[in-house]
Amino acid sequence: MRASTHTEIYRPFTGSLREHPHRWLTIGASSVRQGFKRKLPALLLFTPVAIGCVIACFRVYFRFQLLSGELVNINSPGAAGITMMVTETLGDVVANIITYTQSMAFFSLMIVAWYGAGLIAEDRRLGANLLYFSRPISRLDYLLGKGSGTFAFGFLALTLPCLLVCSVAAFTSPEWSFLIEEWPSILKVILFSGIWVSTITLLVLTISSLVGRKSHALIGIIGTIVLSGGVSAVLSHLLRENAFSLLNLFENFERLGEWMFDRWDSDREVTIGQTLAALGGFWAICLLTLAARVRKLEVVA
Amino acid sequence: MSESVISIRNMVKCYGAVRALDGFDLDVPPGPVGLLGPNGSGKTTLLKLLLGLLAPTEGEATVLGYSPTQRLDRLSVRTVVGYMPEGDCVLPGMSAIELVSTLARITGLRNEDAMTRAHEVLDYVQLDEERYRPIDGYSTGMKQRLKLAQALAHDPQLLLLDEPTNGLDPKGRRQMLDLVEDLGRTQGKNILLCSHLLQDVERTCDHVVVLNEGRVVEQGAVSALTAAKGALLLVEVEGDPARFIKQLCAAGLETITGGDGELRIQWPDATPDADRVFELAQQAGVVITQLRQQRSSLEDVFLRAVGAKAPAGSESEPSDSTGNSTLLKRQP
Repeated sequence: MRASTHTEIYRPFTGSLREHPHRWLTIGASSVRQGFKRKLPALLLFTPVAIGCVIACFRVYFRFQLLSGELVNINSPGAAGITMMVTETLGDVVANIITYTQSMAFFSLMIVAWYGAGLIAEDRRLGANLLYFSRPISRLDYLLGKGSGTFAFGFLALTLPCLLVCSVAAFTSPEWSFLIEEWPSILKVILFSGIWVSTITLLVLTISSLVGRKSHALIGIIGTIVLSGGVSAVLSHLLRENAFSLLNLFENFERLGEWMFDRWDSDREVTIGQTLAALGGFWAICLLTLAARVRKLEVVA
Repeated sequence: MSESVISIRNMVKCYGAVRALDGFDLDVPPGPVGLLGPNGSGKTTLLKLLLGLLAPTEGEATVLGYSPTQRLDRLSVRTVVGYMPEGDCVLPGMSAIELVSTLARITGLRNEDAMTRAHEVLDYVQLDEERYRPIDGYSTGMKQRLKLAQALAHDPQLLLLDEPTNGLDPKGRRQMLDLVEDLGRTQGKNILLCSHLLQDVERTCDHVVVLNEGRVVEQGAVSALTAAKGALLLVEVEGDPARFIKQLCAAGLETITGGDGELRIQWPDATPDADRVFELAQQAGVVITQLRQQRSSLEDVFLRAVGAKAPAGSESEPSDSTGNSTLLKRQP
């Protein structure tokens, strides 16, 4: 038997509603909160990113420290040789950051795929779309909410570590030289990682909107990446036509990186214009598919 | 007379060749209103149209002065309406408190207000410590109460409840009906309760709308509908009931046979003449073993309304040899 309490009466809401509530932000924040509820996947997925970030930070830190002579006395003949050798091994700081950004692309894809795959698929499976769309949100709010949630994971996986490495470089460089001389590179790194994370966010949400379960979406994402890479490689090899490499998302981003960081390989047969067109086409297909699928989520028969 | 909460004009909704809503006008008054109809009569379609989740093929509707078919008005409709969907609807991975507060924030409540409000409505629907547990482990009754709580989160002016007692055991059903009755009768909320369970509507609503095959076939205050149809006599006879029915029809009385062999006589006014019934029984050569009067229930109103429109072969069909009365065979 249960006793009645004073709390079990209906209380009218006496407050007021916000005029501009940024509903998409609530959906995005809720997606991030739900994602981090499970600790083990977070630990497994973010550990390699964290390790990579720490290594990149140390490489940058050591290079500047060696160059400044604070670690060893570069005036002594032996030390100077060692310093030269180590700094050559460590490479250029900007190159280090670019390499780090590109090498972490795969891990960021895994993270975005894991956390974003279920965002739309599970909503449809569990009927959450009815709860969302019985609220005053537009389809754009919903899409921005899910997109911002997914993007946040990509940001944490790639853009934030890149910013950390750049910050270490800025702080350890003598007289803020890295910040003053290489600020365009810092902006390019942020831009490149932002474009990459946005692209994989679109891919993940598009596939999530097409299937009914998170597991199916994960298979779809991996399948799309593997299949597009495989088809591109096979067709390029069989037909001896490098234009087929435009089908490969990773290769497109490799070319985009080379172009953005002024490291374009002049032997490439595919131009940057073709690469940008391929990426633009990919974005257009994803956005159109998402628009159609989210409309179907709202307009339920 | 007070203004309509919902106003519908010539509403048509087609799914391909199927006309789910077949062009009707409807004015829903304030207070608790029941939307009755057999499965597939268009109840859920109507609710979704009112929320702007579906676009009508023809016609227009206004909900509290807003038109759900207009893009900007649609969001306003959803701000003043609370919707409790029929099926299992949850936001993946959330607890009840997270779900209600998140949906309240999406509607426009400030963070602190949303959390306070979530606790208030969860208290009201009596989800206690369970509110901190993931929803995946909830019973059907808890999920139904949670759905009601999320619909109440922003204190809407109108509640659209789609089959709120679906899948509930008797105790859960009683709890849910208590809540709906309290909201409608004590708190003065406008409610459109969509159900195919007549008792639920009869208990909680003052006004009823009966939908069948996409058309409004009956509407009005429950008290008026049940009283206006006069008295209902329940009769058990020994002998050939067919002859008795023929006799009754000849006397201009409407009859309904129940699955249990009980005969119902619809008396045209509120004061039935039992002597006349006995007289007709004697003329038909049957003996009345039991005769009692029953006030016309919503079930009778519903059966009459739906039966008059039911296609041949369905649960209600006209089947009288004389052609004078409507013989309704109810499902056991």
